[in-house]
Amino acid sequence: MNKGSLLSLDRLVVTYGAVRAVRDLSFAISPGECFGLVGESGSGKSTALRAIAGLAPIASGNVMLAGQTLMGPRDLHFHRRVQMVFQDPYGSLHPRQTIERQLMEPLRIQRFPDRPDRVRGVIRRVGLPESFLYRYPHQLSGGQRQRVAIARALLMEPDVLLLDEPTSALDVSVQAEILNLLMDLREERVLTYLLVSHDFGVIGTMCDRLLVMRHGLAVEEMSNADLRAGRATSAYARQLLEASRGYHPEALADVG
Amino acid sequence: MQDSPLVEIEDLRVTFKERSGSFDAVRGVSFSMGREKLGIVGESGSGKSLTGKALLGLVPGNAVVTAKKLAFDGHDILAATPREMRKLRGRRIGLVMQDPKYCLNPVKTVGYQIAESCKLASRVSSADAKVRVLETLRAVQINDPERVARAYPHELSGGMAQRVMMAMMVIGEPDLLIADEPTSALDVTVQLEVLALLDRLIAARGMGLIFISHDLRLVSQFCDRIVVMYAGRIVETLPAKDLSQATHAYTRGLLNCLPSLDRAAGTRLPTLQREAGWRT
Repeated sequence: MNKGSLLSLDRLVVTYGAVRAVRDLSFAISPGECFGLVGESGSGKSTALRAIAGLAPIASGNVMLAGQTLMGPRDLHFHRRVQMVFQDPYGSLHPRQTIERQLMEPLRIQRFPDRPDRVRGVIRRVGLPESFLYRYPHQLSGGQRQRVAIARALLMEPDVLLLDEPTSALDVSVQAEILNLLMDLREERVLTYLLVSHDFGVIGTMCDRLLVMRHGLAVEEMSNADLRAGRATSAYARQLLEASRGYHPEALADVG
Repeated sequence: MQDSPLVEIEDLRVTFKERSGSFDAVRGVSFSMGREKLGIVGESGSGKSLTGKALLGLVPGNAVVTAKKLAFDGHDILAATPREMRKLRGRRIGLVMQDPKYCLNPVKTVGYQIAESCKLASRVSSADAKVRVLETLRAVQINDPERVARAYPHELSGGMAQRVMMAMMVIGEPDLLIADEPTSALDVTVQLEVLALLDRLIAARGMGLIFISHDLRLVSQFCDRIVVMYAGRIVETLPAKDLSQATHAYTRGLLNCLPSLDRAAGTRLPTLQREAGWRT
């Protein structure tokens, strides 16, 4: 594996009973890079992300953060460096706690000083007014909730953000705002992103490199330039790219 | 057929009565359509689904529907009795919803459920219904209809379940199909197959289609005409092929904020600046 990589997977296997959700997955992400995982449902892209965060059972293979192999349950130090944003902002926030209370909790666990200031700073940074701290999740729109989820991830001042379909539950106009926010934050704080998406448009906007996955296997690694030029070598990646261009009856004769 | 439109809607309003007052979800929508593919596009909360549901008489109980005219093939929907509405649903108007897994009965086989809608739509014997079920499953491109007919919904993939839903809807041979985000829950490659199938079914049976979706690009590729809704109103109606020449700022804004591979990597996406004037 590349010595300079910040986060890498080495022949990772994740199994649930007899189902092998991720099979022999390897990739390495450099500091400051945005790496995309693309695939259809069941391709194992989200499972790989969850395995990194310690949320999926690793059967074999290694996850390495800054050269150190991660073993067992993730510790406080790991969560200082790596944070995750989930797809569904409705499910990832506590419904009966105010935004302030939810944002304070990780700071308390990590024993941060000046917690109220940090919370106010981060909520402003994601573009929400401070008054939102005293609201409950159901009083926010989907986009506002996703901003809160991003704020919570940023609190720890992490190096790596694991983004699991962060905009696929949102309207396109809101998606544009959230993607812009993520791009701004990455530049400003030199963050490293691992972004899971099924949308080539999102991946092409955000990522430097991407990996196409299918049935838990890596199909093809591409650079952003490859993606834009449509230079896919595997049949599956080409098919996926073609499908992402939308509905063209004439191009579909062979698919239907 | 040409002279009387399939659907006529004039000044449709759907109002929710709540403790804190009333909320107008649909505010004066008017359009009429024939046997064409009409797309209704808008973001969440724009009232696009409610417009479709009003046509089927399926709005939630706390909503009040009013309109100067709400007619399907000459039938006044607002004046129809529940019995008359039941006759329209399934037989004349079909509905395909977003998530097939929620719409199918989990404890009955797929074949049973399709046969049920067949028997409701026309008086046929169980044996005939069975034959029709297999025929229809074949028509929705299911290769081994016998096996699928015996399967329960949880044994089917998302794309397969959506085909089953379509089979259920077209078996009654309706004149109008309302498809509410029929492919949003599906993977892109499956999505295209389902759309191609929908296209074929509609062309073969000469049905009208109302295709409700948030995906402006997809609708423009699939439909003949697009109705763009914002905050309960129609802001623009245009032929699908002229989408790139859309004039309303909202339609243009929606088009622009899509992440696309034509834009350089890392450039910020244009965001939609909502104007108060769009609501009125």
